[in-house]
Parts: sequence; structure tokens; C-alpha cells
Amino acid sequence: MQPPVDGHHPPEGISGSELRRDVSVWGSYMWGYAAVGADIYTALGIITLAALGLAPLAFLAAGIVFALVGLCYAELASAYPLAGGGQYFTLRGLGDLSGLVAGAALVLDYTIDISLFTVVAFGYFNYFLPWITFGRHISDFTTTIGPIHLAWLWLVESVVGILILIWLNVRGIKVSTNFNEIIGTIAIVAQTIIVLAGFILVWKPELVANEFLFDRPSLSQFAFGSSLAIIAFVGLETISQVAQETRRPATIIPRTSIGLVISVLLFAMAFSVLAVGLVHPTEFRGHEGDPVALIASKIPVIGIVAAPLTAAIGALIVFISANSGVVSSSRLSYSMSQFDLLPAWFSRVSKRFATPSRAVVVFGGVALLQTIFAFFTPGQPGKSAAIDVLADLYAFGATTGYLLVFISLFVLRMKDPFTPRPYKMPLNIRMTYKGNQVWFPVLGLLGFLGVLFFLVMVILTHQYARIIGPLWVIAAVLLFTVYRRKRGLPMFKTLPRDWETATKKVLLEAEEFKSLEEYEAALNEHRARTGESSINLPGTPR
Amino acid sequence: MRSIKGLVVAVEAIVLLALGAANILSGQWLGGAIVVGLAILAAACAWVLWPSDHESSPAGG
Repeated sequence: MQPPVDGHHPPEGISGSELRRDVSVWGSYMWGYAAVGADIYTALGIITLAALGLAPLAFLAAGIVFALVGLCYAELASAYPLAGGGQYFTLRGLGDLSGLVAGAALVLDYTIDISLFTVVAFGYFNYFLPWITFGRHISDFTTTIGPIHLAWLWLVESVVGILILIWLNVRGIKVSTNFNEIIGTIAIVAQTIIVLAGFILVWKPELVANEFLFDRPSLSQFAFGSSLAIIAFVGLETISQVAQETRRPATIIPRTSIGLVISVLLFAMAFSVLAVGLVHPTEFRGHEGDPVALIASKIPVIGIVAAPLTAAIGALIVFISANSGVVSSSRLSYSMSQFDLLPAWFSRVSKRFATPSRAVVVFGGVALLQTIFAFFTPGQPGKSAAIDVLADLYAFGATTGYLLVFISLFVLRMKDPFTPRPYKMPLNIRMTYKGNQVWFPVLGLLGFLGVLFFLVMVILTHQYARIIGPLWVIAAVLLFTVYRRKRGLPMFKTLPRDWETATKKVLLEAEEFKSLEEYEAALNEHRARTGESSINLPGTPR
Repeated sequence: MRSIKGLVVAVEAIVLLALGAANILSGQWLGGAIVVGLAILAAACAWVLWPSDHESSPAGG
């Protein structure tokens, strides 16, 4: 991984010219697909068990909100094409402390992503366990310690898997684009075959109607299920993480973001509808680790081949998705330390491997601890609670981070109307703010309310996330205050940064010359009209 | 490789549309509506995944 070099020494450091812009439309799409395409392999069983017959509606509710999140990120990432994603947008719109909270929340989710996706990757791997152990299943490798039902073999596999991910990322061994492309294509082809064969050969619409009418969850179960469904969509923002490396970001990012939103929504909806019209939701019990393989096994004729093939593909792409969690958490924490939100210790690059090895080890280590904690949590007899615990933990960070990003969208639309937005979220109301013509995003408001709804649902229904999530953020704020105090920097004040010069430099490096001209013209017009020398963003020097 | 994804999802859209129509014609309105909805989503997906001439090389990423 090439670390971003956004810096706190304005203006040279902010734009980060060391990252080469060589990511194309397909590179950008595949980056996102590597993070998000595997989500349905993880999410299907957990969510169907939680939302029962209304699982497709739970996916739809989360999918609509996340489509709005995707559009919001498309606007911000094409306007501010720098590494850092949500943390950077929040820092720019709301200042240092909010940027820290957004960044910490998103890093938490990336670490849970590493844990959950590694555990599920081995869930798919364990589909083959009876073939290796002469008929013994993973449940046969469980030991009971009081109320804890420890799936010790699965724990050992997951720990080894996370250690391998840490090692790969410390050494700087990347998943190559071509490999990523091949796996992504295989996944799409395999998913399409299962969807088509399932719908044609075995899907029963009357079973869907029956499930809708007679197998409804309670309101709190549905709230829990739909907030869990966030798992199927988290990672859409990965495209903004590579915005700094994307060629012509203004053109490419909106297209790839929208493409990713549609493709993820398609497969999430198709699989959930297929599942409800194919098996009873409770059949997923015991198959939380390999739900798509269960679906494939139920398809006549092709099932005998499709199920093991699906398990093999699932194991591989879910493990790649876990790897994207390692990349994203280290990339994000690196960016945060460059902006003095985290100690510079995190941004130290290994001399030997030229990777941010400390960030990789720390957050990989956090993922390791989370995994062990999840496996040692008491659960139902004969069943490991690991996936349930990790899924419960997942949504707090994403909803908190996205909420701050939506608020930043409003603030940046009001206070920074000068930066060209090659893509704007649709549906806007024109208004005047401090003498400037600005556009209020109506869909942004709906997205904000949707994410807020999910955050409230998480706090109400997720028994682990509502404790560990806020504690994580508080710990990050404490670390931030100690670090700022030690450095003699203001603790709760945003540090001065020359955003104007930074924006010009970024647009120049991205070869977005038209946007650069528009930006300069808008600033000159503003200055001629108001006489103000600077734009009114947090941290802008007066 | 790029064209495969668009093509596969386009086939998915056509098959789902045909299946949805068959469901509707056989009186399965809910099933038909759901599958036609999925077909529309698949068509939109195929349209986005379809490679266009002005795109840059597949090497990026």
C-alpha cells in the first residue's frame, strides 16, 4: 500500500502529490467491488434470521439509505479528490474534533470488517471440512466452557487468517488489479448463475407471499434486522479512499459510485428475495458462516456443483474483503495522523517495506482481540456466538461516520460553494447564504434522516455496539487530547490550514483544469463582491 | 473481462424480465412484480457495467 501524504503543514502536504493517479474507471469500480461485492456472502444468513419473512424489506430499507450515502460520497469525493474519505470531508466541513470522531468511528468499522469477514471467510472454508475430516462438521470441533460454546477450530482458523492479513499488509503484498478483476468477474458470473438458476428452477413466489404475510418479525426484530443489513452495503465509500489515485476523478468517481450502488443493491435484493422464496428463514441457523452456499445447495441439477463452487468463491472473496478492511483502516489512520488527529507514530512508514506497518499491526491487533472476544462470548448451546456478536458491533461506526459526512455535505454546500462539484446529489433547492448562491441538498437531508434512524436503531437494539462503539470514540478523543496537549496544540480548536491553495493544487494534479478555472473564477467573483480575502471554512486562516 | 460482466448482467436482466412476465401472465402478481423490479435493477446495472469507448485501460487500480 502506498500511504497518502496529506499533511498538516499547509499547503504543500495537504494535496499529497506522491500518490500516482493511475486508477481508471474499472480500477475504481473494482476497488469498491472488492470491499462491497462480498458483503452479501456475509450478510444474507444473519439478516434473514433476524428479519425473517421481511428480510428483503430490511435489505431494501438499508439499501435505499446506503444508495443516498453512495451519492453523497460521489459528490464529495469528486469535489475533494483526496485520500481519507469520510474523515477528510468531516474535517474539512466541521473541523478537527468532528473529523476525529468520524475517522475513529469508521476505523472501528474497518477493524470489525477484518474480524467479521475473516470469520465468515473460514465459515465458507469450513463447508469443505467434512471432506477433509471424514464427515465431521465445524460444530463437532466445539468445546463448552460454562456458558461459552467455543468453536475452537474456527477461532484458530480466524486468528491465523488475521495474522496472514497483517503479514501481507506489513510486507506490502497487494492484491493485484488483475487478480482483483478476475475474482470480481467470477463473483458476478457465479452470483448471476445462482440467481437465475434459483429463480427459474426452484423459487416459489407463493412462498414469498406466505413469508410476507405469516412470518413477520416483531417491530424490534425488524429494526434489528434492517440495521444489521447495513453489513451488506458498508464499503461503498472505498471509492473515495482511492479518489486521490483516480485519474480524472470528477468524471470517474460519480459513475463508478453509482454503478457500485446499483450492482450491490441488485445482488442484495436478488439473494434476499430468492432466499425467502426458497427456504424457511430458520434454515439459515447454523449456516450464518456460509449462507450463499446453502442457497446454492438447494438448487436442483446444478446444486451439487454450485454449492462447493460457491463456498470456494465465497471463502476467497470474503477474505479479500477482509483484506480491504486492513488496507482501509491503516490508510485512514495514516491520513488522520497526517492531520494531527492521531499521533504521528501511526503514520511512520516502515523503512524496509515502505508500508504504514504500525497502523497495520495496531488495527490488525484490534481485529484479533475483537475476534477472540466474539468467540468467547456466551451463546446458544452448540452454536458459536462469534458472528452474531461481530455483526451486532458492526453498524455503530458506519452510521456515526456517515451521519457526520452528511452534516459536512450541508456545511460544505453552504460555506464552500466555490469548489466545483462535477457531480451533485439530485434534487436541490436554490437559496442564498451570506450573499452566495448555494444549493440545499434535499436527498442529502433524506439520507441524513435515514442514517440517523439507523443509528437510533443500532443504539436501541444492538446490545454490544451501543456500549463498545461510544467507548471506542471516547478513547479516540482521549488519545487526541493527550496527543494535542503533548504537542502544545489546541485541544478542541481546528488547526489552521490553507484549503484554497490545497484545492488548487489537488485540481491541478488531477488534471481537472476546467474545475480549476471555475474555482478561481468563483473565488475572484466572491472577493470582488465582498472584499473578503478567505473562504469561511473551519481552520481557514483569517 | 470487462465486457463479460456487462453481458452477464444484461442476460440476467432479460431472463428475469421474461420470468417476471411469465409470473404475471400466470396470475402470480406479487412474484411477477418482484422479478420485474429485479430485472429493471439488473438492466440498470448492465448499462453501468457496459464498457464504453472513452474509458481508459483496464490496468488501473
